[in-house]
Amino acid sequence: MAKFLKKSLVILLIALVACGVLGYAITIATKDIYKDNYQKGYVYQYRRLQQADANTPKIIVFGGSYLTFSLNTKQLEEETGMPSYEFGVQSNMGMCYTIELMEDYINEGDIVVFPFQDFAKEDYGMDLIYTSIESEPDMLAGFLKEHPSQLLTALPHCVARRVFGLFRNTDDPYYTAKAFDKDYAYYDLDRPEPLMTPEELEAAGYAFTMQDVDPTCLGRLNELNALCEEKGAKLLLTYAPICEQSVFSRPELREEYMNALDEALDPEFICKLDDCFYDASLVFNGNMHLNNEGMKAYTSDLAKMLKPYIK
Amino acid sequence: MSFTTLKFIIFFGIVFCCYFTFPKKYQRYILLVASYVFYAFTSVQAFLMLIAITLITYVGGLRIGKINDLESEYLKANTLEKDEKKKYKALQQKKRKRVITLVILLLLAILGFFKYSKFIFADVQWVLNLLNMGVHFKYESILLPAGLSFYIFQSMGYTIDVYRGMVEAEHDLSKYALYVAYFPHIMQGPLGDYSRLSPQLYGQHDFDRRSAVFGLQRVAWGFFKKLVIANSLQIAVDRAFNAYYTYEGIVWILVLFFYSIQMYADFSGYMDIANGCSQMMGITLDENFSTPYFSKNIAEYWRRWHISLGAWFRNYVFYSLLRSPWLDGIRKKYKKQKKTYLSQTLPNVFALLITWLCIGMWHGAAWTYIAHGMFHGFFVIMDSAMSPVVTKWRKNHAKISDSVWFNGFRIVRTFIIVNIGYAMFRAQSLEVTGYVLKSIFSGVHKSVLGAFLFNHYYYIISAFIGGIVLLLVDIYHEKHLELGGLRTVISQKSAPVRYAIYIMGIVAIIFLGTYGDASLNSFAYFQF
Repeated sequence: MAKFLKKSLVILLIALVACGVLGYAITIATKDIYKDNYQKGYVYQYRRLQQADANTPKIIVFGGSYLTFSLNTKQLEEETGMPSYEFGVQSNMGMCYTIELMEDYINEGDIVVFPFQDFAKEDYGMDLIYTSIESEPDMLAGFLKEHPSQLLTALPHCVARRVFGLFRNTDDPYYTAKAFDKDYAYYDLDRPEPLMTPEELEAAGYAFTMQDVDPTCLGRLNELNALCEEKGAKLLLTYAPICEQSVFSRPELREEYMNALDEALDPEFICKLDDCFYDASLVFNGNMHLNNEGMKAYTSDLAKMLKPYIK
Repeated sequence: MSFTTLKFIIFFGIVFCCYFTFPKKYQRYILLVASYVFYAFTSVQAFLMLIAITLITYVGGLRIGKINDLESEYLKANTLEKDEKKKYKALQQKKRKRVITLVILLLLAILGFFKYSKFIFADVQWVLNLLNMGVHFKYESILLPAGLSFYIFQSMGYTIDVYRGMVEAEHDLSKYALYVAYFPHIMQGPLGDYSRLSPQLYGQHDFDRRSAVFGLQRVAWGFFKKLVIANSLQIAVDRAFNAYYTYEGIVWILVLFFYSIQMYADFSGYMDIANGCSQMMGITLDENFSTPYFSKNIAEYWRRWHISLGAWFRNYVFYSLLRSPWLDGIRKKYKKQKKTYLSQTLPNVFALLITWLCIGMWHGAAWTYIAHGMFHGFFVIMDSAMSPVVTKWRKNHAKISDSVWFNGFRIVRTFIIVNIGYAMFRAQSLEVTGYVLKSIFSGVHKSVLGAFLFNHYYYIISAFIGGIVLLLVDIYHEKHLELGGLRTVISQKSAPVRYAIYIMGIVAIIFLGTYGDASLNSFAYFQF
């Protein structure tokens, strides 16, 4: 038996070494294959947050892709008078990881806003890890310390993606790094008309249910709230924008949902779910992604909600 | 503890080393302790449930066994008249029936409570809501212990076998507990036949290098199927079903096709790991799959897919129903009227109908599973009812029916039926099933198809590579039906070639596999 075990272990070890060598070789050979994608946009937002003045109170809005489409930080800055930062690209990144990256840059007097999204299930999105490995290894530091096994399991996946990525020449028309470089956010992209008809949006259907909310994310938000309090900052919750026509939960169920969230979360909700409903004419390519007009409306609504909290 | 976690690999490594290091007489105790540790990882409540089921069926088996022993002792000791003997036997049979009925009812009540109460309460709640009754049941917290259906059916099968006199009741509780809890099969089967499995579990095994190597190869193959194929496809399929309303057109053909491959890779991958681990310890579990997607009709499909479940229902439900006074009466009635076809077919049809309803319900407490069971049952019943006509046609058109293209057509047709069935099996509700099936005929919808392929291209490529390997291996096994054929071929190669194959296999699993996300660790049949 000892011989069998020894041989098996040796084979496993050789295989692991082979994986390491192959992975390294592929990484070198396929350097910079992702030139322009939404992950680069995420990195851009992170770098912008890093460069923020620690002594000037600011607003940080973090969340999923709905922010990319629905928040204009320049307009928010003008309406609130506070420097504004958006940290939300794609929900695949994982809310928890976004918080982890953001935490270090929260300072006294800051207002941190999370427009709640009920499919906040993703924990640590692997997509981010791929991005980080591309060219931003510092974004992995905290992750490596706290979740080494997740990183180890993601590495080979990332390498394989690089190989397959060689055959991927199509740029995603909406999630591009270019869109973030021009100004604070995504707002200058031309998207005047909704891509979906009201009927399509209605058919998309959206129900608010606690079953879709991951308790891990709720716990993480409470931790963030405690950290904000410790640092003298404030965490506020709103809801993500949603197309009114696609909501099919009855009002009493929505009330139930809000009450359950209120109970589970320590930070304060500064609006009701229905305050974040928008007409189909303000929606772009999904029931949570707004168009130019929708973005103006959502940003303006958010500014109004935040005003009482700005000193 | 899922098979595809590092925790399990370490756990099995320790069990394997202890199993062959300690004196052989302790092997079954090591397995029992390991099995309980393995299962206790799910939850303490589930573990207590396992103990309860073990005790119920153990005591039930003992009680029936005792009646059997007393009966044979009494008959040996006393010379009875034929009538007296018949009367005595009937009395004992009545006692046995009472015990078996009690055990089965208890087991079904437990299964029913954990598996179907949510389903029943939800439907009752729906009706009450419609009537605005203002009553609200709190049933959401009822959790189904992992693998409950499997070990309840396994222990129920044992008790029925003791009742039928096919096996002796087990007196040693630790032995019987091992049969129920044996860790490779407790979560997803295979539903092991007691007479075949128990001597192996209770016996003593020497380390056998060939079995260990073959077993390890099979474990690796299971990992490949699960991580490279099933997990990759699961991501694409789950996304499609979770947001079904955003998908339309022929993309659903692709999604259902992916789901059928995912299910096969997932479930058979689990079996490969279970059988491989057992083989390493010198224990041979029953096979649960035999290249099912090469089946020519649905009846054959069920003889090749989840074989142990099909066998269980055949032995304990279908045959019991056929032997029941009700169906026997129907058979006799039509026989008397000289309606041979009806006397042979009708009891079969009724028994099949009930059996398939049970199979549907076994899979889960939802209308989708019931519909899935009845859908497959319909084709099996049609197959049985049309059998005389089909046999006659085949006899008259032997050239066509034996041709490669005709058999190919039958395989494709069966695969399409299975895929349609999956639209029921996978969907969240029958409404979603209706949407999916209707949507397939709504047009091509190139943009939706393109977006689906674009968003999941990585997973699709990984699964495609894995799928090709799986297809080639399955074709090989279909042609060379002897089990382990490919492993024998590998074992005959020179050492460097063998090692290169192993290393390439591990590298492929590591690079092409989709893992790391806890939600992917679970196997599809865990929920049943």
